[in-house]
Amino acid sequence: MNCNEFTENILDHTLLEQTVADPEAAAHLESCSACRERLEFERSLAAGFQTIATEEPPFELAGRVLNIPECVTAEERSAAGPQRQEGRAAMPETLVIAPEPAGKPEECTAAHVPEKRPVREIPWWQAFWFRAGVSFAAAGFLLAIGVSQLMTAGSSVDRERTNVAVEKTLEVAKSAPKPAAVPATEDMTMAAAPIVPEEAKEPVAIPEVPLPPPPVFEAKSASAEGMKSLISSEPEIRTEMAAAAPAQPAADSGAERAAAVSEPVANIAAVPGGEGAEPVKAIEPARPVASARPPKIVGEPLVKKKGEKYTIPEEKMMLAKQPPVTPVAVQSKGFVVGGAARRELSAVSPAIAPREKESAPAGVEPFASEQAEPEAGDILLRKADMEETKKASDELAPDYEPGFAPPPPVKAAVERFRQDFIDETTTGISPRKQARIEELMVAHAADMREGPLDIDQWVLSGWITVKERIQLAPPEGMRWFAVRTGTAWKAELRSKRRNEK
Amino acid sequence: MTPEEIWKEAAGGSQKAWTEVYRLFGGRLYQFFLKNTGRASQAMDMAQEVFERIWRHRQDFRTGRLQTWIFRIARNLLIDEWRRRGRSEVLVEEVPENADPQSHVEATVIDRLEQDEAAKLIDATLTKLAEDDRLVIGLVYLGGLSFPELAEVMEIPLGTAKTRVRQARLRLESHMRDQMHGRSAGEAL
Repeated sequence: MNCNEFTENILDHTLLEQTVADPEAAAHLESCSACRERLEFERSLAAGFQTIATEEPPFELAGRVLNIPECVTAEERSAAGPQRQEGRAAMPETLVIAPEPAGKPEECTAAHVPEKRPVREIPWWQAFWFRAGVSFAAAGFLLAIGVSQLMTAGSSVDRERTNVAVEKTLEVAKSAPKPAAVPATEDMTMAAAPIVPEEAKEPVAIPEVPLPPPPVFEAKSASAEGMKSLISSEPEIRTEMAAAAPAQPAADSGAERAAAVSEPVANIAAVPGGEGAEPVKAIEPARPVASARPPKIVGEPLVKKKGEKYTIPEEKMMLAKQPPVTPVAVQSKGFVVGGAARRELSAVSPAIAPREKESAPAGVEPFASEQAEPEAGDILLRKADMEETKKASDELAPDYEPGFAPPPPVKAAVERFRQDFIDETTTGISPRKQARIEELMVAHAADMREGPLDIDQWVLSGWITVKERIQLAPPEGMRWFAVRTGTAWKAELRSKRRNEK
Repeated sequence: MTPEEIWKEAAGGSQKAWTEVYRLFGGRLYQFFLKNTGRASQAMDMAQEVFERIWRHRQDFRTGRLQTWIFRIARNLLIDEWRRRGRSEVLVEEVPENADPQSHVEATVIDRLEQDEAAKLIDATLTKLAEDDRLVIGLVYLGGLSFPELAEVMEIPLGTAKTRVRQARLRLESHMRDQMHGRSAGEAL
């Protein structure tokens, strides 16, 4: 046995004496002083631990432990009691009286119950509820501050915007004169203008311009309360018939009537029902009519009273001139008249056509079914009246200063194009176009040869532009053909062959 | 009578046998918990808890050694306590795997290692050991377990149990040596 084996064996103190009793170990001990010292140390250490282990425990522990069998058994009996009762309760005819619980001996309550282990108490300021409350309060405070800041910023921005708008409005109102042709009342101007604070309001000098004659329909000015309601997005303007038919100015001139027609009254819904009519809300603010297009409805409506027939005012009959009926099909509201019926109609030449369908002469064909028929109050004017109206509107037009550019004169442009490139009377090709082609042919005479011309190649060669190529294009089914007459070149239009593209 | 025979009587309801069981293991359990927790009240509670558990589960013990069963319960209870309160790690110095056979225990240590002195020295040294080392030393020297029993209680192989005891012993001796040198220096002053 060597030292390692001896030390390993004596390490287990339970085998210490057994190891020493071994003859092989005893022989090694006699020859090895180090192992003897080691053995002594192990014995001393074991004795020291034995001393510790055999120290008497506290007397209190002995009391607790020795009572354990009695106390625990009592607990087990009390815990098992209800189970036995349940078993008895299953017997229906047996009256069960619950026995007194066994209970614990008095010494168990004090000595048996282990002492409560110390619980680390947390200060109230470190408790969860306190931290959560503080966190929520801080979050709410910050949120309230943020919302108030946002609201303050938003209101200040709105105020600044309102002030800027008011200033601009005042400047525009001071500088721009009021349009003379728009007979807008003061209330209507206020309705159209932005809302101006009372302190910012200034009297605006409106230049006095002679107003046109009053319109046929008079828009009753809204009262101050009405304007308030209008501002508060609930506009309500009542329009009434200005007066009964006989109260109309009898001798309206054509220009005056036209001026009246061009008034923006047509934008206001008119109810011809008189006082008993249902009030109609204002649909859109009045705006000037920029075009000279005659309105659809002019004049006063025919109101048929009970027991009366339609009566045509005499002055209207006088205003109506005798036809020239145009050769073009007369198109009146709701009917297209043509052929024999046109001749018959020209013979009759009514100034105002009755609106009832059955009164249309024979041969008059109604429009498509979806077209609206004339309604009560509509007056169908003759073409002569329409021309007068148009003329009057044209005279009135320069007085307007529309807020947008007038549409381009399409008709003039079309006419000019027609004159330049289309000669419908002869070949259908403008001589100017032909001259241009011949000019190009002369200019490039060296490259020219008789036969069909490929003007697309001219574009590729840079002789003409694409735009000019479009203008010089031959009509459908035709092509340009180069013909040489001596030294000169002539362009002719010839029809394409069948298979030629 | 062996402890197992005494236990049979105690489990049968013999208060005398139960008292004998307490006499056999009461002091060891109390010291085991006291050295591992450092608090007398807690050691007393835990020792009582062990006795209560063995009584409640008295039907579970059939074979084996009684002290192995009791100290397994004690070890599990101690580990539960460590988990509940949060284990405090102690820095353990590195020690060699095997003891140096040439290293001799100093004569002064042996001479002065009387039984009472040894007990005080062990008390002072055990507090410096890590919890695992204290657990192993406590089970072996205070519980009186052999290496095979230690392996059974710790639920580790026998070789591992021997290694762990050896390492714990080396650290214990190192601390004892330091303690002895400190005392000698204090007495010299």
